[in-house]
Amino acid sequence: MAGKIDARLKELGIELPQAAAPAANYVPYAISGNLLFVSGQITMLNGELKFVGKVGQDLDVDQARQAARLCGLNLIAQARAACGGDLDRVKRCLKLGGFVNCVDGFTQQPAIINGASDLMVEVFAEAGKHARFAVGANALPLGVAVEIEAIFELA
Amino acid sequence: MAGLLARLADLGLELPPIHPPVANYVGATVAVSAGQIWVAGEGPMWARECRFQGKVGRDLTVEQGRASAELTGLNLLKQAIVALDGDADRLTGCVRLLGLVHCEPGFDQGHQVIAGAAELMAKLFGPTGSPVVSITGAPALPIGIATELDAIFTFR
Repeated sequence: MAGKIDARLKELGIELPQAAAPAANYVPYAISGNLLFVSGQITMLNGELKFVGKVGQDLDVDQARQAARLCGLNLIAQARAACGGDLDRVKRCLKLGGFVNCVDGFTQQPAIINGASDLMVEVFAEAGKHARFAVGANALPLGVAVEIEAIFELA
Repeated sequence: MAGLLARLADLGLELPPIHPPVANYVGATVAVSAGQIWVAGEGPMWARECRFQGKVGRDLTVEQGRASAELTGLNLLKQAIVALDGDADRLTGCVRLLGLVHCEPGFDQGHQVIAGAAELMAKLFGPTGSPVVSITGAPALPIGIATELDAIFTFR
């Protein structure tokens, strides 16, 4: 039987990417108590690197928002893997941490990370509302434009 | 399994001497109800001596950056052990690392640098005690350290 969140994903026309292997030797997710920690997810789509470059130089805000959405999809894909395929075990998205690879003086990080924040609310509704930070970075792994980490609460 | 300090010794590693935070914060806080220890940002220090200074990819190689991350990880571990009044064997894992890599714009190997700390934790705690990791470049870090990491450990 498909779960509620799976049904919601289908309704939204969202197909989750494959949960990506980490870029180096660390784990994609870890559970401590009822908290699910997910490693910073980058703009990987089924094994292919997307959205490489610096925002404000190589990518504009709209492209970077798409990049953030892809990071968000990867976070949900990792959460599904962590829950043994049952996303209904996610009680709440507690926190997102967003890093934007951008030029000096760039100030629209929040608008970019909204790409992932909006996704969480689309998918998990009230339970998708989270605390977060959005920060500029001078460099990110593999040169990606956006990286986002998450903490979920599990039922 | 041998105790944590014995496992460290087997890896040929030593815990650095503790040093107090450089501003008005504490080295670690213990969330007893959650079974977690939250450790403040650490650098590649040996007491007050900084062993790795400068930008990775410019002043330091990726390999040196990895060594910096490993030493930073040992400082995190030391803080967690001190928070448990020295009882290292109460530590059960490292659940999360945030890694900041001091670098120039365009440096894209931060994950290989921070892996130095993540691999240390994986070797000490095994797959069930290995951390998730987030990595970012930083244009400047306190006293010019090459890597800064913070961590959440778990304990029983």
